Parts: sequence; structure tokens; C-alpha cells
Amino acid sequence: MIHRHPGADLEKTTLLGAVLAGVTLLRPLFAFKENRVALGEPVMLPEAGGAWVTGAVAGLVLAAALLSFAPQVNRVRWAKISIGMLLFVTLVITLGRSGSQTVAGMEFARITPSTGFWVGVLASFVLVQGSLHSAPVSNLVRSVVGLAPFLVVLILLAGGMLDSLAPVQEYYTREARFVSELGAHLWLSGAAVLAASVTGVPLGILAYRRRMAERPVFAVVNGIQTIPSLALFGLMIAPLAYLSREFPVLRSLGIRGIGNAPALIALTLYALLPVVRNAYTSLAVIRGSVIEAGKGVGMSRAQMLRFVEVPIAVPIILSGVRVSTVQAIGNTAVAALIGAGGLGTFVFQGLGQGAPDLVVMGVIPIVLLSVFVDRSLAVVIRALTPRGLKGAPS
Amino acid sequence: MIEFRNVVKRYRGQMAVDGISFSIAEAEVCVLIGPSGCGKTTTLKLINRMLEPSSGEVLLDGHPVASFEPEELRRGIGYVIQSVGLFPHMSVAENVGIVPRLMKWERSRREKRTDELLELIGLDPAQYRRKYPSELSGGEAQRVGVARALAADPPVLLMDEPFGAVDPLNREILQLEFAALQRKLRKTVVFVTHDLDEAIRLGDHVVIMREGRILQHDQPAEVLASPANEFVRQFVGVDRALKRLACFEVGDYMKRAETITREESFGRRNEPNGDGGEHPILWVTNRDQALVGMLEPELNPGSRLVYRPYVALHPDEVGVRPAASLREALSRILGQGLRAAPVISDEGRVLGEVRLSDIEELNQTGIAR
Repeated sequence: MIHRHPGADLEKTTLLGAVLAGVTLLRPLFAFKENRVALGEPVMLPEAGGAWVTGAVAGLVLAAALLSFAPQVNRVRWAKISIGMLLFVTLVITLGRSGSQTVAGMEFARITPSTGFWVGVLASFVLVQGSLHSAPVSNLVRSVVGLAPFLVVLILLAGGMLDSLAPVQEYYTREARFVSELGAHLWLSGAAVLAASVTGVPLGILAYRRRMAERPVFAVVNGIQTIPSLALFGLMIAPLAYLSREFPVLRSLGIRGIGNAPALIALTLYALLPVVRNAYTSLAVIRGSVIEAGKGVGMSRAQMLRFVEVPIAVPIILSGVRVSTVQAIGNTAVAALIGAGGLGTFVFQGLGQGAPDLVVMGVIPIVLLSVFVDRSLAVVIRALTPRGLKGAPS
Repeated sequence: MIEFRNVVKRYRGQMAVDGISFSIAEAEVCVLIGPSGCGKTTTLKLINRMLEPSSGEVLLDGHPVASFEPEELRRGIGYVIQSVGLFPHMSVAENVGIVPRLMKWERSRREKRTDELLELIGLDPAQYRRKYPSELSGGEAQRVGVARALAADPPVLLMDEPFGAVDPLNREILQLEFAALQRKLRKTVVFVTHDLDEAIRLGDHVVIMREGRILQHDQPAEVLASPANEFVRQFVGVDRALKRLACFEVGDYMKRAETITREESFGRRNEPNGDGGEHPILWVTNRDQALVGMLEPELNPGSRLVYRPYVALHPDEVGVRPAASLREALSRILGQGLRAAPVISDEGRVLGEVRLSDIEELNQTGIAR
């Protein structure tokens, strides 16, 4: 691969994108349901979008397939990115428009996106990111391109153009509940990460500074991580219920076997590992020679902290917090099982009621939240990382 | 300038420095040398209080170092370590300017000083100021380390195997640069190394240590000429006579050379007054007095002096500069199979010659003592 001309090569990623995009033509775009529990009737793209849209999508598929044989130069990259974007926008708008027409006049009717749609979205992702990741562009452009699809969906949602979608319908019937569960979700994961940071950073530092502490600290923290989250939540119930029964003070503080208290404890324990590990690493990467040099030029303990340790360590510690946060947002969904609330509530309700759309309605905000928090923290960390420690810009 | 008085340093029951006393004069380079674990680095670190003695005291300019605040003391003493220890998150300018920053100099003064130092160590400020340590070569990083140590113009410089991590070729360049820098700055330098050649090249005095004790403290030539004991004798090696020659400069042993022009050399085969005795090589020069070749004398069977045919020479292959060591001169002499090597200027002009006989004599007198 390396010694051949890049143009002579088949771009496998693009070809994959093209093949995936082709699936949208062969599989149903969405399913029409008369009511929430009705079985869906599949609707194919030609039926939903008409000849023009079908032709356009077919054209995009063909173009992507052809471009996968073109040399990977900038113009080709941007052509592929545009194809991916166009595919996404076409599919979403078609879904919204056709959905509205299909359900018009029927009170409980709704549509659910099907294989064709989801695979199309995946195809779009592959085409865009596959070209973007090797493109010589700034981080800003990267972020803008990455955020564009979300923006499109948000605008369409705000304009009511996606109202016929089942998850959106599920949302409308639970708007108030959604807001409060979102709040609970944020509070739970936020508090857990905060608690894990407050305890984990000192633990990591302790593990680094005291050889005696290193093994036990990591044994415990790693051990926790190996317990499946469901089991850990379950494990919390018995002891907390017991404590709550024996000590009325605790009960009056709201500590019970189920609810927030066990969830928060379990989430905090889970969030510990990345924080502890990175706090440890952040000190371990500061080479002894650098500390010796700092001492040698006459830095006091406080100056060493300010000029050397904090600038080098903080970005690494924050990276741990970032991993922890993303993890906690996901784990919090499971916490709904022991009555802690959060967006997981909808997921488990949906599972219980056999309503996949409700599940989707709970899952999508969790995913978006994770991505958003992850990206934001990445930006903050990048800003805090001293230039000399950043890798060469890719 | 620096004085050790009965200094002992024990580490976890182990004797690192075992009651040493010696002093280092102002503006001299004192090299501490010995096998690993001999206590040389410990000795160095006792000066800027990176380590505290178990007993005894270290004086700086007549004051016990223990009477200064450690941080204040260290800001006034330049410190260069083997692994350089540049702050990876700071630019070259920030690294060099750290001591002035700790001493709360104004920004403009700091920047001026930084540029000055970068120029001093031969790195173009405009090009290097904003670079980061990860973008520097080993030699460049080491130079920046030296510049950082010099930032606040400290009278004392401590260097702990500063060139140890650099490849041999660059190490020699750094050593020569450092020697030139020291001639200009005249700092009191304490230099730790385990490389004897480096010690000989750079040291005004050499302190040979073993197991926390000083075995010999003398000028390099003296140490090589008369090792204090069997250990030092072995440490300096069987080739100490040769090494010792590195302590002497060609310029100090240069003799007048006979030169003739190329035209004069034509047909010069027989010397009219050829009657034995010392007959110098005739160095042949061009119109610019640059060395181009030679005529080597030879006594023919009839004890008559004749010159062998003209031999063209390349100045850089046979000539030595006045600042070179006699060791280098000897290697040229032996390499060419001659009795002398021409001393040439940077432009290739013949300044004089160094004779094998003089080197032999110097060797005899030194080693015999």
C-alpha cells in the first residue's frame, strides 16, 4: 500500500460507504404504525420520496462508488463529504415529509425509522468521517462538519417537521417528565463525577507518592471496574437498606436501599478508575529530571506546583475526568433500574411496555449528551494543554 | 570560592561522601571524576543543597551554604544535569528565562537576557525562542540547558555529566564550545564526569574520587604524570602518557619553521653545507604563504644531506592549529611518519612547527617525576 501511488488504490472506506448507502434503496425507510403498539407497515424509499428523491439517492450511491476509485486528494475528499452530507439531509427530510403526509389526519398514527434509514445514516457517517479524518483541515472545520448533522436535525425538530416520528410523539406525551428526568440524569452523573474527582485525584496522587498505597489503591479501583454495573447497583441495595433501617438519621437524609443514594455511590465508584489512573499517570509522566531541574533552578514547593506540576498534570487529570464523565452518563441510564430516575427510566419503561420508540426516545438524548460532554471537555483540555506537550497537529 | 570542610554524607547507612576537604578557586574548572558510586555527584549536589551533608560544611565565598535559603542559593548557582531536564511544556525562551522569572525580573529585561544567552550558546534567537524541547536535537537541548543555568549570570556553575547523553561527535563539539565559553565567562565551574578525556580537556584541576574519598586533587597533567596510587594509575590507564599530551597546547611548544616558496624548492636537492646535525623539514608555501608541500631532509650514505623529492601536502591533514593539543600534534606526526608537524593558521599559513623530539622530552620529564 505504501509504496504504490495512492491513486492506484481502491479507497475501501468510501466503497463501504457506497455499499451501505445502497442499502437505503433496498430496505424500508420507515414503518408506518396506526398506533403505538400496532405492527408497522414497511415503506420503501421510492414510495416515500418519489422518483426524484430515489433518483437522487441512487445518484449519490453511484457517485460514492465511483469516487472510491479516485485518488484521495482534497477535491475528492470534499466531494465525498458533500455526498455524505447530502445523503443525510435527503434521508431526514424525506423521512419527515413523507411521515407527515402518511400520518395526516390520524390521531395516534406515527412512523418509525427502519433499516433503510439507519443504514443510510451510517453510510453518511462513513463517507463524511472517512474523508474528513485524513483531510488537512483545522479543528474548527472538523467540529463544524461534525456538528452539522445534529444542527440539521435540531432545526427540523424545532420546525415540527419530524413530529410524525414515533420517538418524537413519545416525547410530546411526556414532555414534563422528560425535562425532570434529564435533570436527574445530569445531576446524578455530575455529582458522581464530582465525588469521584474529589476522592480520586488525591487517591491517584497518594498511589504515586507512596509505593505502599499503589497496589491496594489500584487493586480496589480496578476491581470495582470489573463488577458489571447491574450487579454493583444490586449490591448497594442490601447494605444501604440495612443502614437505613438501623439508623433513622440516615433514613431522614433520604438514604435507602433504592433510589439516589445507592445509585450515586455505585456511579461514583465506577467513575473512580479513570480519575485515579490519570491522576497517577499525570505525575508519573513528569520525569525525575524535570523535577530535579525545577529544584535546581531554585523553585520552592509552591513554585514547582505552579510552574511545573500543575501545567503538565492538569490536562492529563482532566482527560481522566472526561472519560469518567462519558462513562457515568452511560452508567446513569442503568441506575434507573434501582429507582434513581434519569433518562434510563424511559429506556426501561419502553422495554417493559414493548415500545421500542420509547427506548429510542430515551437512548438518543443519552448518546447526544455523551457526545456533547465529551467534545466540550476535549476542547477545554486542548485549551489547557501547554503547546510543548501537544502532539504535532495531524 | 568553594570549600569543603570534612564533609560526610551518609545515605541509608551507606557512606556516599566520606569526610572530604578541598577547595575550588574562583574562575577555575574543577572536574570531579571517578567510577560510578564514587560520590562525585553527591559532592556536587552538596554545593547547591540539593543534598545536605551528614556532617561537615560547605562554604561558598566564605559563607556556609547552610546559611542561605536553599531556593535563594540555587537561583544564584547555575545547575546543568545530564538528562538536561528542560521543562517540556515551556518554550526554549521560557526555559532559559525561568530563573529570572523566579527572581521577578521585568519581562523586557528577561526577554533581552534570553536572546543574549541564546546567541551566546550559538542558537539563533529568532529561530529557537519559540521552539519546544521536543523539537530540539540532543545537542541543542544540552546547549539550552547551559543557557538556562547561565541566565541570572551566577558566579558558580555546577555541571553533572552535562554531555554524557550526547553522541561522541557532538560531545566533542559541546566540550570545545564550553571551553570557549568558559574562557569568555570565567565562571567557577564544578564539573562531574566519568570520561577521563573530558576531564583532561576541560579541567583546570581534577579531583579523582573513589568510595567517597578523594584520591588525588591536582592539575590534569600532574595526575597523569604521577598518579597518587595504584587505583589512580589504573584509572588513568596505561596510555596516560598519551592522554597527558592532551593537557598541553601546541602553541606553547611551537618552534620556528623553515619555509621556502615553491619556486625556491625547484632543484633543491643538495644542501651545500650539508654536514649532519639537526636538519629541519622545509615547508613549501605558495605566494599566500599557505602550506602546499614539503621537502624532507635525509642523510645519504656519504653522510651528505640531500632532500627527497617534493611531496604535496594537504594543510588540514598534516597541520595542527596553535590551540590544538600535543596529543593531536603527535597523532599527525605519527600519521605522516615525519619528525615534526607544521603549525598552521586558520588560513593555512605556516606559523611554526612542533617537533617529535620536543614531545618526547616533555614526556620524559613529566613521567619521570
